[in-house]
Amino acid sequence: MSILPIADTRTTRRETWRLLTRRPWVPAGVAALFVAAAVCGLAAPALLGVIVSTVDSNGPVGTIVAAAAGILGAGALAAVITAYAQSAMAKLLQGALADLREQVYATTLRIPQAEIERAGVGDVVSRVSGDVEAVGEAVGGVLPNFTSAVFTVALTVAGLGVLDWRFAVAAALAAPIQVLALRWFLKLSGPLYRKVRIAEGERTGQLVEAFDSASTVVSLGRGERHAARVDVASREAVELSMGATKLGARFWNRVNTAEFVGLTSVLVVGYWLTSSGLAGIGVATAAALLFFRLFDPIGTVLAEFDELQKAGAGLSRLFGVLQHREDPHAIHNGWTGSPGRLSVEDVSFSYVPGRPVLDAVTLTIEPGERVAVVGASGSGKSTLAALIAGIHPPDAGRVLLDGEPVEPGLAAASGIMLVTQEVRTFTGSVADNLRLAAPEASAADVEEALRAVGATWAAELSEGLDTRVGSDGVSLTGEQAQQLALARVALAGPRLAVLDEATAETGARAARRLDRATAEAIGGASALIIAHRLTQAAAADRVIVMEAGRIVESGAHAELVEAGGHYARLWEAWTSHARGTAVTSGGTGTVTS
Amino acid sequence: MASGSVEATLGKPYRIGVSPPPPSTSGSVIRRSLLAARRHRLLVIGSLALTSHQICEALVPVVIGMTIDNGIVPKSPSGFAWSIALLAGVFVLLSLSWRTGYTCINRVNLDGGHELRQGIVGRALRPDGLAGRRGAGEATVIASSDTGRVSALAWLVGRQIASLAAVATCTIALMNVSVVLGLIVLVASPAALVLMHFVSRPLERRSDAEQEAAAAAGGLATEFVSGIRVVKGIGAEAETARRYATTSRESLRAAVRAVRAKAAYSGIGTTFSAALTAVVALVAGLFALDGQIAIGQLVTVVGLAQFVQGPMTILGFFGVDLAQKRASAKRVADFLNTPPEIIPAAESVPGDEGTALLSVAGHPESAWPVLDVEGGTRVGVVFADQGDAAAFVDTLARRAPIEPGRIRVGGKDLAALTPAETRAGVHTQHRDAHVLTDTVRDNLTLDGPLDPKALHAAAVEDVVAALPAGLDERLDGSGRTLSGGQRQRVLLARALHSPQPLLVLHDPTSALDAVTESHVAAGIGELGERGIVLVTTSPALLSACHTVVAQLGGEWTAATHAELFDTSASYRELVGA
Repeated sequence: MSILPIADTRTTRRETWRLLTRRPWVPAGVAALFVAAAVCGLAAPALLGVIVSTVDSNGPVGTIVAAAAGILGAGALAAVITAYAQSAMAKLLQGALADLREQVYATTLRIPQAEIERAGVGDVVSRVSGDVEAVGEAVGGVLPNFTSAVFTVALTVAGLGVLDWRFAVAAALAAPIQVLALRWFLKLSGPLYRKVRIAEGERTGQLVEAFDSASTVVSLGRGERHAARVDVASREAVELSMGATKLGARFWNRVNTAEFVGLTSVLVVGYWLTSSGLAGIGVATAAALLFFRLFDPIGTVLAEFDELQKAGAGLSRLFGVLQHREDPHAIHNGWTGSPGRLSVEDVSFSYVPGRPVLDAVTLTIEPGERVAVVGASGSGKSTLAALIAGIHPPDAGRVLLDGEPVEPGLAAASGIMLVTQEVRTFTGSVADNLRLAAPEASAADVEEALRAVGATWAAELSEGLDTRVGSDGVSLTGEQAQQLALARVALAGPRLAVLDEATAETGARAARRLDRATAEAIGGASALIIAHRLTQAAAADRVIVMEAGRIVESGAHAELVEAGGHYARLWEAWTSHARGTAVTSGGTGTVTS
Repeated sequence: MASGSVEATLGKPYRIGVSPPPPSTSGSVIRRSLLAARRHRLLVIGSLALTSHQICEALVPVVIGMTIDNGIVPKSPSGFAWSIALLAGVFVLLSLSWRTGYTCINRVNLDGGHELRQGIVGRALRPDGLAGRRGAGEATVIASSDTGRVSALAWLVGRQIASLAAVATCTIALMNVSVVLGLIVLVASPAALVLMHFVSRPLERRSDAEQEAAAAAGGLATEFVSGIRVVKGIGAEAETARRYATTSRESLRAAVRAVRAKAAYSGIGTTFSAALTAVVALVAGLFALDGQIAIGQLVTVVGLAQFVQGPMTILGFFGVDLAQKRASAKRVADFLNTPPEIIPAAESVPGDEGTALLSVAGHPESAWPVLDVEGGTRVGVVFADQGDAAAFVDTLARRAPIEPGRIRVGGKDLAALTPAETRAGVHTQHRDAHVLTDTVRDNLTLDGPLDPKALHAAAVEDVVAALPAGLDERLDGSGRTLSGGQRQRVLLARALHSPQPLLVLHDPTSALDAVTESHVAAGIGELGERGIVLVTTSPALLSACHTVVAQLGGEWTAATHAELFDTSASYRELVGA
């Protein structure tokens, strides 16, 4: 497995900056709002200082009333401006995030299939879901408070400096302890949290397997073994979390130390300044209260730093996907033209060097011709289908449709449609599922396609074609899901259909129905059919037989049966099973009816 | 793989027993999480430590006020020094209390969650199964999120006690300075809580809407990307991108709305807090001017008025938090209380013990045939309806109820057997059997060497040969390492390694190509000693059976495959020829 690229820190920073400053006055305006809010927030301790010095100097009652009114006014103003600042910032950041995730998703789809297989679908899925979520949570939950706190801390220190520069110096004594504590913590917590997440992922994996395979596990009498596995994974996650807890406790102890050092320094400076007559008691009080007020925002900054780092990791994985821009072609839906002529010229391919899966295969499918491929598992028939559908580029040789090379990843754009063994219904209505292949199709076209593949059940659903299917809708049987997959082909009308679907899973009768549906879905198109049942081969215009990556026979069904080669032997074996001449011996079963 | 060893333990602190434990309630689940395994002691120590921490936090503004009154105002070096020493003492105690409380409570939380999780897993894997169908997703959510929420009650308990103590400390400190000021703070703060609770309702709605929209966008992306082979195969890239963009924009709008609501909410909270500070500052300032209180006390009062809002908020949300956690505890309890899939009949119908491994006395509506399967016999069963076939297999696996006296396994009435006892006599392989996350070898059998005949019959040799580590290759439970045909051959090989005298296989070759299937049929034909029931429509497998029973026009007919094939058109149709 080689996962998709991850952007380095510099690239992530540069790209984030570019994304946020597309309209530079917006972030500038947001910052200005935060500064204004923090300035208003400073008024309260300063005004309390005024009250204290008024009391100290036995001043007028009016000053105290005015100062109290000022506290209320400034507090309310700070609240309103902060709310505006946070909303404006959310709009900016959420908008940027939405653009980013849509770009990432669109880019993901352009990555060649082979590369996705190498990276593992799991890695790709986690980029568009988990990483997007992590960044979204940081942007929506943590960042507004974090930004407010940063501005409050910065301006409070500035405010201390305005009272007397020596207070700011005293307060700053706490900073080195905080910075060191944070660096120490992040250095240890990063790897530890990663381990916790990996352990929790492992635990979830074990849980899913235990529940998903419960009946298999129980039927094999392996319940204890699997419960013990969950136990080991869960224990490991618990102990790692406890490690993180202890680390966190030590970190907060260091933060407390910084608070004590800073507060004591400010009090000492206050004592010194008042006793030497350099400042009044009001100023000393205001300074102590200002610093006391810093405890919460500093705590917020230190605590959320960690969350932001996690979001940063998600961000670099998202930008990593965007580095994948090697494919210059725009993906477009739809094609024009009649059934195509496919030429496979001397194509070789191997997944592992030295073990060829396809060995100099040459094959032509004439327009409108239906060719069935027969062979044992591992003979290379599914790989041939994958190469024709542009999923893997051939190691040697060419795949041409009407003389034009089929570009990996762009086969669909030139009118080649692949139906794989993986049958999938997507969340959405029946019509939504079909229109994936032909977005512009009318309701009548959709109905026609469903009728063609014999999906009469669709019309009987409670809301017809608008009935939701998939995870939150009606659940479909295997046969119904396969009919939808075939109806997509019927609706889109490809120039070449490549069908690698296993119709045998659903029982003999259903398989025959699906064989008919397949024929209807192909219509007049050229087709390559990977035959999982010999009846599929018998119905095709031509049959090719593959063995160990080579085409060993090719011809019409009847010709091949006559010729007495591999295919004839296969057919003979199959029909002899069907007739029951392969009689076995031994055993003394009694059956009554 | 001894199915009789269900009572064995692995030296772990849990055990999957066969007898059901007493029913759980949300209360018993909570008690087990918080108090069992001597966790109650840690919970008490942790709560006391958190309480001490909160009291210290409340004391910080008090000591600041004392420093001003005793040190700065009288310009007394000794008074100042003593005050700073006191502050240092408060901080030392504060730090130690937090460290103790945080670690103790989190230990209770994590261990309690772990124990509940193991309880859920144990229940899910108990030999008697679970009644009703629960998705793996739902069970996983209960085992990870709900158990975590219940065990986090440790935090709720600890913080409630600590907050109560903090509010009490503030009250005493405030009343000590001035009864009037104390009353203002103690009346205004709860009033603020009520107001904020009222204001927070639209906030909750919007944040729910935000999460829903984000989940919808994430879900869509996950679905399309997991199905990327299908999406690319039909050329739907542009269309799925368009659909994703639509949900992404909806998610954006919901997120901005939610942040706006949150910002407005915290704005109202800040304003209220500023108003309280202003009122307290005004009254305390006037008192100080009057000489009723000292300057330092003025500072203390303002500091306390700000501080007390934190613990009050925690106390105010107690009800909501508790309700949420009780709901989780109830889901955990409900899962633990799920009745077994099958409850054996109290009395079995006595009958002929006989030598048959399986004897089926037929069905009143002919849903299944009359059968007698002896050791060394292979019997094919061909159902007209695939649903009936699955129901028959479920019945034999003791997953579906059955009336007494209809089916005997190893001479015993199936209706009176537990699923575990049934498994001693018969191994049933369903169509939905799973490959497990294990090496190939461990998937096939856990005890004893591999059986070359079984490996050959399942045509699994070339599957193994194609894997880099061969038999020691670790397979992925979700089956990503293997193709459908390879997976089915591994499953078949595993079934052939099972120790039971009777084997029931449901469509064991449906994903195999014709060539491999005929190889498998020949291999199964050479397995002499055990009884095998093949529920299938595959002609290759049926021709390897000694006898075939087929449901033809509602009637069950028994003969060999060849006879049925030659004489019955409806049989030929059923087996797909």
